[in-house]
Amino acid sequence: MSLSRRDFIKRGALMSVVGIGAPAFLVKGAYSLQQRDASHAASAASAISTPASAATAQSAGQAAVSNATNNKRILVVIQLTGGNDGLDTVIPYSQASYYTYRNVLAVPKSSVLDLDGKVGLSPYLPKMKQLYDGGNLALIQGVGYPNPNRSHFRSMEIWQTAVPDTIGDTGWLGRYLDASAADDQAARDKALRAINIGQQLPKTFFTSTTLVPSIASIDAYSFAGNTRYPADTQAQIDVINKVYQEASKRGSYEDYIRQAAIDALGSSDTLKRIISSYQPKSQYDAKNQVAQGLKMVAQMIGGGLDTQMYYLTTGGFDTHANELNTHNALMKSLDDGIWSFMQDMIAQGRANDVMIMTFSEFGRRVQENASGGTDHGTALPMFLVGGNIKGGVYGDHPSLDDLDQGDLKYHIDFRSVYGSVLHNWFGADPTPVVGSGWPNVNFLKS
Amino acid sequence: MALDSKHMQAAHLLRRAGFGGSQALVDEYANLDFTAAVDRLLNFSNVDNSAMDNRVAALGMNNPADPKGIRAVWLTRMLYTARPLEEKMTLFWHNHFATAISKVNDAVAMQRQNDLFRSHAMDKFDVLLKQVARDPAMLIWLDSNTNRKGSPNENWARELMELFTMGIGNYTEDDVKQEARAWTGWFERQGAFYFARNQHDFGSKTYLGQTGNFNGDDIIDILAKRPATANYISSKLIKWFVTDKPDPAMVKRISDLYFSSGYSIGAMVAAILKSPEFLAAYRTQIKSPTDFTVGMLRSLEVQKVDQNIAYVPAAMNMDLYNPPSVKGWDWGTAWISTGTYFARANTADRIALQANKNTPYYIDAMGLLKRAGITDASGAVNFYLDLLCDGDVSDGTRNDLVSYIGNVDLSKDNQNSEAKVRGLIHLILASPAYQMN
Repeated sequence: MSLSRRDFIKRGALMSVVGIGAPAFLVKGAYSLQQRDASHAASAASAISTPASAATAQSAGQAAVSNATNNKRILVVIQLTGGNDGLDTVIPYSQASYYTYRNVLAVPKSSVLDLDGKVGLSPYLPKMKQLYDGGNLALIQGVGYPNPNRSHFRSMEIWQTAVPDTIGDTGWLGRYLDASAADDQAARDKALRAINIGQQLPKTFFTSTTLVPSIASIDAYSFAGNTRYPADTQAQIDVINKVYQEASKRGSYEDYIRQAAIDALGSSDTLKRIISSYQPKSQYDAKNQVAQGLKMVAQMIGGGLDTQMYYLTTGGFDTHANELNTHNALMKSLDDGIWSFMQDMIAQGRANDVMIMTFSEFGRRVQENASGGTDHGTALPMFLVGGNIKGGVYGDHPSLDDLDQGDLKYHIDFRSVYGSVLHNWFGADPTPVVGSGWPNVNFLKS
Repeated sequence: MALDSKHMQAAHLLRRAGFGGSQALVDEYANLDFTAAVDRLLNFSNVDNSAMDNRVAALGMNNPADPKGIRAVWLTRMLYTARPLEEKMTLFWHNHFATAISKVNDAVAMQRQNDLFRSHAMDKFDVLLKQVARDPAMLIWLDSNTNRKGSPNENWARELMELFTMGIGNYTEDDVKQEARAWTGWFERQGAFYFARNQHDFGSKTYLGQTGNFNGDDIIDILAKRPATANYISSKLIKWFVTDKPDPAMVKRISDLYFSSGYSIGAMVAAILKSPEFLAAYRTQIKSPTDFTVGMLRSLEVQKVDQNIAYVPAAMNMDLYNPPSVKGWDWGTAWISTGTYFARANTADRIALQANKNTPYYIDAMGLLKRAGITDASGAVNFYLDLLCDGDVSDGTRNDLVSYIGNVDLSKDNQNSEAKVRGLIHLILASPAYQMN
């Protein structure tokens, strides 16, 4: 099912005010990308080692895969907010220093779910281990960026925008939305190319040309009126649609509100129909927020939306104190949620079309603190999950004996991963999004 | 048709320095010289607030440990206070020193922190900081309880610089580590501040270029003197009252005042409200969910709310006492998404439809019109547009709303006319104009 943005925006007063195409508030001009120096790129390239079976790294700039093979492909990003403790997610149990730096928080070697004889997963990620054993989980180790920022908010912005050196206006997936339709008006106008699951739009989805919808609850995603007078509710919806297409009096923020409301009013009926037409084919724990978010994604996929990108956010990872139980519970939620979703996708016959990517704004300090917690750190692992993922451990775990101010040194720049996702998964040129020269992480089966 | 300039200025002032008000309140402020109107809001410390206290008592939220109760109480205060600026500044500090009950897990401590923000709302900034540094909810929130000599927990130390005083980019990672040592042993014990002498690191620290045996108060004294702090807190107050994009010249002016007034928040707020920039920013902000909710209830003269008011703003992404992070809420366009649009429109529906003919309860939709002597569709549209958004809409919008009333006779007070007027109020509250502040 494909929805045209033109179905949503009846080109009335709004468009005549702000000009055909995009409302003025969305046009932020060309983004600026900091080109990194080539030597840095080269050293990062040499650091990426893929599993023995994997092909050698290829340049992200190589010819794009045919778009035809990619048009059913879906990316699901899971943002872990607060700074996930990578060292208790993927445990470097073979490094003796892990047990020197970690005491309360140390996962005993006997409990670690071993992956490759060097590192293993948290015992609260048994289903991720199953996915790994089935060849459907790629673990990318030691991901970060130069001069890491330990502020939650700045570092999250850096990961969301992929612009570490300046304050970016657009997100990395927002720029992909812009660039992938730069010469294709129809594609650019197509609504619901991306959907945020939640109330607040993450900067990752800030674009120059469109407004990505945010949906926290399908039940609440429609205009309610007086239930005693159904005809009056329809009259209200007609009037409010007209009101929203009048000209703004108070500038860009009012334009922004008008755009959001028009998109909301225009998409609610279709979304409700799609969601109600599809029942999940696996069990999702009602108390697990990750699972519930992924359930909505599964319903949208199953109902036939051809949305390319979904995004959901889960919090609680800022574990400065009493981390153990909190982090274990967070791992379990992630584990159960991803598992339910993948089971659903298998049942729907879409497992090969979906890829989940997890990230967090930073990992945590190697040395645990006296509060049974950890302070803000740097590099951390990312997970890629999907039927088409070539399972394995990518890159070496950073050495705990070679720290920078008590923090891990990164091996793989996160922009390399982003560029690889765009190139390998969507067959897109990553250059407009992350710049050129990033080594490809070759994580796909085909 | 829209308000005249005196009424526009009064309504703007009441919205930004409070949560809006009834037609009578706007009239009252419009009759004052603008400076006098600002002064009336500023000089609140002797204003009698007993009517509000009675409303709060009538809520019956008698369990101080009830998380719903503290939310309902605060919203009721905002709704009925005779000191609007006091509540607006309390909200400012809650957003600034953003502390979430989800982690603190203690409504009594959250209420106590709220009382602290209220009683020091316009105080000297360093005085407020020293109180916040001893606030039990804050001590729990940023893990000070486990910040011990020998193995500091950096959480409070970092956020004090990054979010509460100077802002990012004005310190090094080493400053964070050194500062955390100065705060070791600042604990919360049984709901009170407690200095654990044997957990405090009395050693020498080198912090922001100075060396000494600093403790927490010394750190605040150092931070309060920094130009970056003046700049940061000035910017934040200007963003709150005026615009998301403060003019550097104005920031400089208010920063200078920060020093010349001896760190006086009250002096800075007064200067901001009396600035030309404040008036020029008329209806250019986006209403927060709290402004949205409390604003409509005040304008529509709602005479009674119940405990269910507690989570109304939360549905629009602003759960009071539970900000999403220590950075507080994101403001401006971050309030608006397709999802929050429906949340706003449907909150407006819920409030506009609640009625009880026998007691003044929620909105007396026909009564307000009757009092104003209005009996026709375009009169009703103009009246509610003026009341809710200063009549600041295009003729097209006005005509759309009149067409919604259609041929329903508003001179008759019956079910049909009542439903139409409530539907009209709902539409205005769901319109783009009402989202602007």
